[in-house]
Amino acid sequence: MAIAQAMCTAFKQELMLGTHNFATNGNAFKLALYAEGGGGKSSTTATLGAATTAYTTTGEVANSGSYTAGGGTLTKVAPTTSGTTALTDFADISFTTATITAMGALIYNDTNSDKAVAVLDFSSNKTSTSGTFTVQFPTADASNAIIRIA
Amino acid sequence: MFDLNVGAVGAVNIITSENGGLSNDQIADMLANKLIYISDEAPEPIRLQAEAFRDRIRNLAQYYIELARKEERASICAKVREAGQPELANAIGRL
Repeated sequence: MAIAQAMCTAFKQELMLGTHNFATNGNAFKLALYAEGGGGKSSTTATLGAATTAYTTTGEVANSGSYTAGGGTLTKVAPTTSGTTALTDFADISFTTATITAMGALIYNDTNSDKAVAVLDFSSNKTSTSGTFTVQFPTADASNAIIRIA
Repeated sequence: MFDLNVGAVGAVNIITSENGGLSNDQIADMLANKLIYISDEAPEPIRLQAEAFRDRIRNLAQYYIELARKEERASICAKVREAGQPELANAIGRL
């Protein structure tokens, strides 16, 4: 599978090294959209998964509407805990007036060398046509939050 | 030895539109899904009750989203009309 949902292995190591700061006044994180089947810019295909270490332009969708190379900056919600699980969350992100077909996304640390955090697999192609492309993050709880450490 | 179970990434929901922004229904669904999560593993009576509650919240949200958009358009129409563009104001009003 070219895009496989995962928390990137390098990210797990970098957590132990203190590379990533999810506090609201911490690092800037971005979300970039990717396509399979040659649907990325210059007919490229994304290969993303646990082994991904950093943002790449290969397979990224082309600029359209408010979507530009590198994707959009995520608005962070301060990390918290629920029971024995630590979790963090982001506000939903939208790209408007955009014609986009994407199969997945990469969350990465824009402050620290574009280091990869997590790969999101949409399971199927999602398309907006001269419209809005919204990524809604899951409920921020111990069972569903976008990034959890149990 | 600590066994840290790292690696949980939640599932996102993708909402898209064509030739315009998201509809009132789509936004209401987003709100209800974010506000009330119902586990597939919940006992059926509880799950059904929760789903009914979520539907009520969703329908309420849909009504007020529609109202908010309508009122916003009315405000925009008034400003555009004040600026001497009555035809454009009428076109916005018909949205």
